[in-house]
Amino acid sequence: MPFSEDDLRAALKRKDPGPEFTRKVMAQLSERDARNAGQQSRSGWRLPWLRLGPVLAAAAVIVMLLGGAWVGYQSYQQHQREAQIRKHQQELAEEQAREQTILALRITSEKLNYVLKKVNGALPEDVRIRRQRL
Amino acid sequence: MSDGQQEVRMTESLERVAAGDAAAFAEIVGEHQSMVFSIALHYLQDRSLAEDVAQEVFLELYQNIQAIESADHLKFWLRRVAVHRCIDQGRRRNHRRETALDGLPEPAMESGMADPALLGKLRQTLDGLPEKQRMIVILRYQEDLGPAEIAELLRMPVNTVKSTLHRSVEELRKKLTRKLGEVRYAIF
Repeated sequence: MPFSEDDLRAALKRKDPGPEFTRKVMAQLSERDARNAGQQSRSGWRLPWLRLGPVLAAAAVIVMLLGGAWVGYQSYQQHQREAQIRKHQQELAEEQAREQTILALRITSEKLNYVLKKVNGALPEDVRIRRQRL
Repeated sequence: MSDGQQEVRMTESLERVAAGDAAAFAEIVGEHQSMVFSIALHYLQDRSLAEDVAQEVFLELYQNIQAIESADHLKFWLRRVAVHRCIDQGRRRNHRRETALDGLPEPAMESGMADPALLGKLRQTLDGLPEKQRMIVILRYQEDLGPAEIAELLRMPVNTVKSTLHRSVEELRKKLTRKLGEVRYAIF
């Protein structure tokens, strides 16, 4: 069935939704404005807390980091002190061992000198002279 | 009222709305409600859905009123947002057809000479077209927009709009002929 462009225009002619439409839109707007105002006042009350939250979190992180660093530094210092004490004790032990070794060598040397004198005193004259020449 | 006077009045209303005058916004709604509502009604073929979409468009306008620069811009903005909301709503509805056309006033009373049965069939047949084609036909014959204006609204090349419009009218013609043929067959 043929139809003209005018038929299409007539079929698609603008229709008015009625006078109630504007009233409904305006009512929805006021309702939404009231809702937004309520939300804003509530969020306004919460706002300082919302702003304070990140600051508190950052402060907590900083305190934790500083605390951790302090504990770490203390532990390091303790470790250093213990190492120094160990080193000192080791040095003392070494010194004592050295002194004891020197004393032992000195005693041994005196004993040997004594034995040598005894042996030299017991030998005949000509052997003593020969040894002295050698 | 001439187009020039209407434009001046709308520009004044926009300035008043920007200054916080709610009554001025009601004037804007009253002036453009038939345009927005009819785009939605002809596209969705459902009066209640069309009203919802039109209300949504005006609420969105209220939120973005500061961005509107002139009366022409207002009209363009309303058409574009209406088109996109209709397409979104149509997709959500997912081809669930509700024949609410029965509740509409008969167009013959408005157009005088046209055959009411033909106009009703035309609208029904239009509902069977794909979304872009349907919107192009509505913008061309309801809003009397040229292909360039439709192309700008739908962000499509002008030639695509022209060819789609031609194809859509042909398709409407074929579908309508088929539909009326079936009716005749059922009668005889």
